[in-house]
Amino acid sequence: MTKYLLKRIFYMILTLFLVATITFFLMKFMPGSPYANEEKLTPQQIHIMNEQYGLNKPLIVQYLLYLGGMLHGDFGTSFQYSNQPVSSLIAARLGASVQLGLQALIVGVILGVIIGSIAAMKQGTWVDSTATVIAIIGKSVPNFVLAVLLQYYIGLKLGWFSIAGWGDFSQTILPTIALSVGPLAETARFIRTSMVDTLSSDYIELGKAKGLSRMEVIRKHAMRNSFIPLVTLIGPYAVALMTGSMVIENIFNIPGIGEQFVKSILTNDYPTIMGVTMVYCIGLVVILLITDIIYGLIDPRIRLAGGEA
Amino acid sequence: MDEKDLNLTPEDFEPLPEGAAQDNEKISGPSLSFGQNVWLRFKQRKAAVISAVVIILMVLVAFGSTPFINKSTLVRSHPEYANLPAKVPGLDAINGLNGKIKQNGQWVDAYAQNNVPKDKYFIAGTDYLGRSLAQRIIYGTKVSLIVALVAAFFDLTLGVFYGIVSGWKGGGVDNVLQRIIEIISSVPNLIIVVLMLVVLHPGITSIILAIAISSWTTMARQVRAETLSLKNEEYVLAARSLGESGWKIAWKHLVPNLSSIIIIQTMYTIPSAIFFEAFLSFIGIGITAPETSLGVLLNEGQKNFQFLPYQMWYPAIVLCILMIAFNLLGDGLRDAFDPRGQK
Amino acid sequence: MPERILDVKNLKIDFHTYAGEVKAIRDVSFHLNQGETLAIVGESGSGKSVTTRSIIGLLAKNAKVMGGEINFHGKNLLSLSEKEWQKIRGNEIAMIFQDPMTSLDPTMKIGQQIAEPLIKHKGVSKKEAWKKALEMMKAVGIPNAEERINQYPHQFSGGMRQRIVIAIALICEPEILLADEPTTALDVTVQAEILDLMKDLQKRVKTSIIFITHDLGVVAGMADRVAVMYAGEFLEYGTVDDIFYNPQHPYTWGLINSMPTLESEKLEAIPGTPPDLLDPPKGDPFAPRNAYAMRIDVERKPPFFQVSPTHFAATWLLAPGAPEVEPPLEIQRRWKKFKAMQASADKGE
Repeated sequence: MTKYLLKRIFYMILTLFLVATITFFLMKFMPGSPYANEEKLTPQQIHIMNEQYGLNKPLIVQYLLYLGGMLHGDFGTSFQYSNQPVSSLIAARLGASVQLGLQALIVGVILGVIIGSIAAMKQGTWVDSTATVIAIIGKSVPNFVLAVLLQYYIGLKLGWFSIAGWGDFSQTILPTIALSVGPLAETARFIRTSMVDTLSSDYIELGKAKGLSRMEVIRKHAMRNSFIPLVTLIGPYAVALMTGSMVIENIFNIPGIGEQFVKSILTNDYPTIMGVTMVYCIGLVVILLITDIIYGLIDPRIRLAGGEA
Repeated sequence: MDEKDLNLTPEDFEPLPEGAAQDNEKISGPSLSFGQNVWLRFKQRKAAVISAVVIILMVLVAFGSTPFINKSTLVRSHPEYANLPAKVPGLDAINGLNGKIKQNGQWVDAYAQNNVPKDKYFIAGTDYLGRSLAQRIIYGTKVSLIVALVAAFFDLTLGVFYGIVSGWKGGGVDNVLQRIIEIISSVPNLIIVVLMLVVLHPGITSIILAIAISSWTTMARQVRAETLSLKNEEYVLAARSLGESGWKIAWKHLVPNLSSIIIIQTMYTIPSAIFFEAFLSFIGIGITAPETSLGVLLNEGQKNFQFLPYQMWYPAIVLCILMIAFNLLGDGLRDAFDPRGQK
Repeated sequence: MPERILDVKNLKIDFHTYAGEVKAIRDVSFHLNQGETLAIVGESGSGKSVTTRSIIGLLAKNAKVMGGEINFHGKNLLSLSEKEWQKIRGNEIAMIFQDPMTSLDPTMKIGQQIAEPLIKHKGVSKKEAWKKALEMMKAVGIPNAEERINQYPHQFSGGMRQRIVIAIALICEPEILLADEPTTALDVTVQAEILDLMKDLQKRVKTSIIFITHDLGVVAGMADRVAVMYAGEFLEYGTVDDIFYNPQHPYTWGLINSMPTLESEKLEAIPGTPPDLLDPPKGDPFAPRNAYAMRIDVERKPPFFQVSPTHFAATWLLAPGAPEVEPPLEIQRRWKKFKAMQASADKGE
């Protein structure tokens, strides 16, 4: 297990290093100037600013400085918000994004598990068909379309929840719903398939032959076996939530990292783009690693196979 | 049993003539090929069949319209027709489809207000420059479909090729190729696409390229896993021991057996590519005006949603239908190829 | 007269399929005596699994009992509610499935899986149940039971898993054990061990066994009585000696003839396939494959003719006035042996 983990961590670091390198050089070769309204600046001013941002040093030095800085959590200085370090810019916005992402994940997974399980238990009935329709629609309707509709009809017309901003809990409700629909649909589909598979397995039959009632068989044998594989979906969910947060935060005007990312892209704020890119990648590799460890802990088959390797 | 009650006659005990009862090797039903079985099962899934028809219709309309709806027709703006609601011939009774729009709680005839000629109809209304929304949606659908097709093409070529090579060669090659995929997959697709869009200039070509390049890894993984298991199937071993070349085996034995996985995975790549294009264009970093796509239309529609809801609703509905149709078709094909999942 | 513990009368079961009603079990009657082992032999699809599943009330969703009775202690099991079934399953009637690799819950410790029926039916504490589970593991011959009770199924071999499944089935000391091809999925050497174990435990627990197999070879050492099943019907039943040495139905001849022996140079297969039970034949179901078939075989279903007090066969060849036919050589050899056995038994008396 330790050997496996070390190997995983090595690949994590390699991945992050490659991403850092690639983003750095891509950004360096970008055409155009990083400064807003460059035409108004004198060559002298540009020279001073280049010095300030370290842009006049040889490329390789800039690269090493960048990598070195990143080890201390320093992603450089934003071009747009003068003198503000990218790291503090991100730090100030990470909280809202993480909270929104977690809320959406929890709501989506819990509802998805419930819908998927009920559909599997009532396989072939109208309950099952309804759940399938919900899942297909949830998977097909883009979350930003849903977000706009929720914001207008529920937020504005009905006035039930706040339509924008970030602060109190009621402001998080609509964006959470919009963001949770994807994981919800995916979970419901996954759990239904997994549960139907499990319910038709021999050990469920043996459970019935032991004299357990249907609910006892489901509770004691079917649930654990069909829910465990859900852990493997956490990685893809994280990616979907990162993607979703970019647009949802924009629509609901939430000061999160996704909204910042879009802003940086539109304004060519390369240090911030690189910083957010790294934060997303670090987030994902860490989540993937944790997922792996959790899976090993809760599935005895993997736990022991890993132990022997 | 009282044997006297049996009423047996000597004729009863005559042996059956040779061959009379011995039709025992007869096979009761015609045997069906794998493809025929898949088709039969697919036909039973009404939702999937309807989806296939919807997709075919959308493809026909989107691509067939090219002579009438293209870049040159779409750039013409008609400020005098700006922001007109839908007006469909023959639907005068239905508010919202008869050229009337709700203003301050009242249905007002926008066409009359703007002095639009009586015989002018815009079946999905017009945008802020007076361009026909229906035409723009059709054009946007075409862009979405092109993005989807190119992504599918990369899936089918790069993804399949990579997967087969990795699975078939095994050993060191597989190890290296898998590490590469592992590294690519631990970077969110979004990041790859965004970085490419930042470097290439936003536009249809770069967005297609960006989505295509980031989408093939799932296919490669699935094809590799299946190739690994097929490699040890007896018919493949037999072909190998008969000295057939690796590529011939791959083409003759692997690809047909991989076909179900490949088709199903392609069907899932397509809606995600469509979503990605719409998503990027919606937040303004994908396709941008004056180019058009469903994402651009949604972006423009959203700005005026409070007053001109139809400008977002129509492209949204088309996008959702497209997504639902591809997802249902994918599910239907999956069930048809994999009878174990049948209800 | 041994006590009849189970009495199945005129059982009829249909399966509802897209193609129509499959008449899987067509008028099957048999009984099981206290402490004996009844083997039901037949090819796949003959209805033997369906028959046993109906005895434990675990028929597939699309199956429907069309008639008959299954009497157990004077109760007709077919009229039980689901609640009443749950009290019987795993407690008075238990079942062993074919594939030990998939019969156990992969995420539950085996100790808990073995203890589960005990906790459910006997209301004992968890600690007590685990103690009994440990005893049971030792009884079915699992080495290092103390240690292995906390392990998971994938840590056991196929043979060991089938021992665990047997332990689960027998922990409540059921009166009837249904074994659905319990050794088919195992290696030949392991098969013999499992069969020995079952015989051994049967004596200790005093359970009656219905043993299903397609392998006549397994039957000889295991069963007291044998029933031959074909196309949803019983064709012949009797003691092991009756069936092995004095078979009367041409299908039984075919089955015995297809068993490999040391002398046989080539294996004799029974040509053809079983009939389509969507539209079952009205006469003897085996007639289309039967080289000895007569006109009446395709017209009328034969009743059971008594061969001896323990031996019955449903074939018109036994009807009064039926012609003498010459069975395959192997069968003639066995008939001779049977006569010799009877003669020596008579002398012995």
